[in-house]
Amino acid sequence: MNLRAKGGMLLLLVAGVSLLLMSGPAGAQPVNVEAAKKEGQVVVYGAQVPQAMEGVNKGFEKKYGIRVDYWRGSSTQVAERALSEFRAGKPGYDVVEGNRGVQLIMRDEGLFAKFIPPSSEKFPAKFKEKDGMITPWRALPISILYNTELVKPNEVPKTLDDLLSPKWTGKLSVPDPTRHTTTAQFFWNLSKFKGDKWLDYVKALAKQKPILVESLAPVTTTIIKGEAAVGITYIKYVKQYKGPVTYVLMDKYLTDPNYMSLSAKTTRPNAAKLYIDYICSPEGQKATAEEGEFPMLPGIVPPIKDAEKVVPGMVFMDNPSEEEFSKLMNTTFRQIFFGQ
Amino acid sequence: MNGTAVLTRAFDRPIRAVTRDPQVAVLAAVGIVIAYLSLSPTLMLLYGSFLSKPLGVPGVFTLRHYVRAYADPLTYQLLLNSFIFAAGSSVLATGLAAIIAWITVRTNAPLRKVFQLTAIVPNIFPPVMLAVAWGALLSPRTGLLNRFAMQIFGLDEAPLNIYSLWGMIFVEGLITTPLAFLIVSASLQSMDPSLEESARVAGSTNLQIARRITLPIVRPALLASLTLNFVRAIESFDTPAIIALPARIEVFTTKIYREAIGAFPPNQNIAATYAVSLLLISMIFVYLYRRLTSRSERYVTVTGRGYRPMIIDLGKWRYAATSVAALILLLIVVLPFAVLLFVSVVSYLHVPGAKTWELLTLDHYRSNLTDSRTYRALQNSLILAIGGATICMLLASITAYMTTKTKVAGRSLIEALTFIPWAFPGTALAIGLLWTYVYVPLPIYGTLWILLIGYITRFLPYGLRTMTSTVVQVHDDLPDASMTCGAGLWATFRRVLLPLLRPGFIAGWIILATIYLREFSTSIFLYSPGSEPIGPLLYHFYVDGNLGPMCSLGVIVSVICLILIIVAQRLGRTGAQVDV
Repeated sequence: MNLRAKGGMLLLLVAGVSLLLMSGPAGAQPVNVEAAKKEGQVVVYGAQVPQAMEGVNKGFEKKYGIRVDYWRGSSTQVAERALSEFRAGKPGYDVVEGNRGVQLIMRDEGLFAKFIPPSSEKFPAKFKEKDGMITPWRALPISILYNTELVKPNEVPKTLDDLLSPKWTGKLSVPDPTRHTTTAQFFWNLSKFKGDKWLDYVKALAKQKPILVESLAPVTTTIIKGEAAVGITYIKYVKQYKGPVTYVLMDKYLTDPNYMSLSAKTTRPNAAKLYIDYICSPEGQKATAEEGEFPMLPGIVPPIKDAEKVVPGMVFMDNPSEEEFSKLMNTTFRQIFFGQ
Repeated sequence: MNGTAVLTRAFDRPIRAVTRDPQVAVLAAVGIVIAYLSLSPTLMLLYGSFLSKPLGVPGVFTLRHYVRAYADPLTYQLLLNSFIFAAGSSVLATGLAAIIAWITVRTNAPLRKVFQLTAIVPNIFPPVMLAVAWGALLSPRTGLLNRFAMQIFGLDEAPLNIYSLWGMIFVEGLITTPLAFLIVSASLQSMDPSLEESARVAGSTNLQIARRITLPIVRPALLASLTLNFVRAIESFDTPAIIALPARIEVFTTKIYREAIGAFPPNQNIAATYAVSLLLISMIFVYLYRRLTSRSERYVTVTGRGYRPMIIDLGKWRYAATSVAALILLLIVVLPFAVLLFVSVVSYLHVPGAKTWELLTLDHYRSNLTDSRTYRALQNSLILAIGGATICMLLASITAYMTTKTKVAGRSLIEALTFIPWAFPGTALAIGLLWTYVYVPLPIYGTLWILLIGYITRFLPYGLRTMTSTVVQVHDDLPDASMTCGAGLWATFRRVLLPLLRPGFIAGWIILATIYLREFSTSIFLYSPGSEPIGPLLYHFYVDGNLGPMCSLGVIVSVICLILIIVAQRLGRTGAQVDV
């Protein structure tokens, strides 16, 4: 090999290495911090309750001087707003946060652009999306919550089946599955535990005359107020709401991963990317856990009693297609819960 | 001859008419604005209900949505529910209003002036708050009144359940009582007392006079109140949002909400078909209302003067009358506001007791005053209230002047056009506006502008009402004299009319501003996260179960509105003195 060829090889090697270094971990896209700061603002529509976003949003604002405008609705409402604005050609958001079900629907409608934040590379491979269109950032295990003043220790339900006992008739709270996508999805995923019998369970639960609320958050407040004694909702709410409420430790929990996605039509792409990257960084993930969330980064758990015992029991839910969702919510569950 | 010349000639005559007479020009401009505001959402609502594809997606004509809506037996159930709800609450409101109006206007019951508060105070509450307050009082498990009743009478079950059709009727009845009170008390006040005196001289007893003389005279007012409150209830989304949705009772407005926002995927086409039906029902009843009041309404302030209604001596019964009125005041004002205050200063809702001291907190106020979303909502609502009320009152002043003081042809057409906003239910208007502005290539959809347009359209009749009754009182000589002295239309309007109309203008402005600050039924459909006003934010607090922040924000808004109302009352009084 002559000198020139050697030089060429060396150049190639240097170029290759520097390219690797520049691009960070495989597939991840670098973020231009300066451009993001110039954009100065990021608008996020999300399903997370605002009090639980405060820490992480303040941290981001402080670190980069970029203002975060956060608007919260239920996952369903977030998807409805984002879809309507997108179809009208007037999207007001830069980043959309929400559960997997609605995120996939929005992705398929073309709302998102591909973005893999460099900081998400340390997330366990099983949580990552192959196409990089949506980025997981927190997991939401669902369990039974109960009012510690109304439910005696020996009466605490231990499994979902215990909720069918006559003593909880009319004292049980769940979101309305004809209006709330995650709840529809939760019921549908009970097949993971109950096989074909999942629908029988839902029917039996409907016979318990549950107090139906808008989404999973008000299940907790219904329990705290004593309107319901028990309910099905996210474990994290025992940290996020004040009052006499705790959760039931079980073997397995249907779990809803939530995602952050970059708007395909954003006018502030850099700030939006930087925001998603910050949320997935150790700093963002710790701030997330502090608020009671189960983040994606291994080894970080929220300050909830026995939280580390919950993590191994998390079973991720599957997603019905848009048609299946529509059939479940508008027909199946409407018949079961409203007799129509 | 080229094309331009043909066009010029074709438009020559009307254009010359407009340029020669500024009154025609102004009338034409006002007419175009009002026609646009009222017709565009109506037509686009119809368009949406016949379109095969969702909002913003090109589609073809279809009857599918009507077939789906009217083949569904549920639709007839909700039609029935809506009618029972609206009829029940309008009867309740008119009944309560008649009692309290009679006591305050016609009897010597002690403290009777205080009970006029029932007509004023509810105008400061965001309407969803009243339903929330009654939820906190009468919810079957946690309702404070239910808990008290269970403790006192040793009951196992709660005696009352707000989450029922009766609960909805009760709350909506209380919410609409002030409106009924205004109509009924105005009629009692403007009654010629000589008729009753003659009956008395002829030997009739109080009861006979009431039955034979008073009742027939106020009957049109009672009917008007029944009709108007029926419309207000059937188009109301405030109470249904808080009570009907959890109680699984479907009425028109909840159905529209569930289809347009609550369902997944949302279906604005089906929502539009239901909205069209609601609009038709509402138009029929508003037409009836107008027929009932066509003679008396406009000049009511003028004929109202000069009579001093006969005061009936109730003797020892006057304390009973005071107690009845006090009970109504308690239901409409005292209890709900006390509950709001209570919930706003404790960590979570509970039966007041020893625990309350530990749970007392100002956190909800603190979080509201520091939260950026609340701050932005307050800012948005203030912009809408100030901007919207100003534009709406300007439009109303010009329209009122043109329709009552000029003889320009076409003014009756404008009056007819204002009928549409009168009858437009807030929810239906909102769906119509969404369908309109998704196609308008201006930054209106998803911004504060669409809310502003919605507010102005829907409440223009309120402004018109105030301004028409003010303009009628201005004597024709003054503007005529100004014109004779050579002042133009604008100079006359600005220098002569506006100062004369100012008290009415300001009073109307404040009424509109307080309505806009609390608006909910239209806003919930039109806002987007960046342009969220207070009404939808309160509802979001509610659906997330954050009653504390909701009630504290409700109290803050009530205080702002209270200040505005007090100023309005002062100005209203000055207005009466500056009569021309």
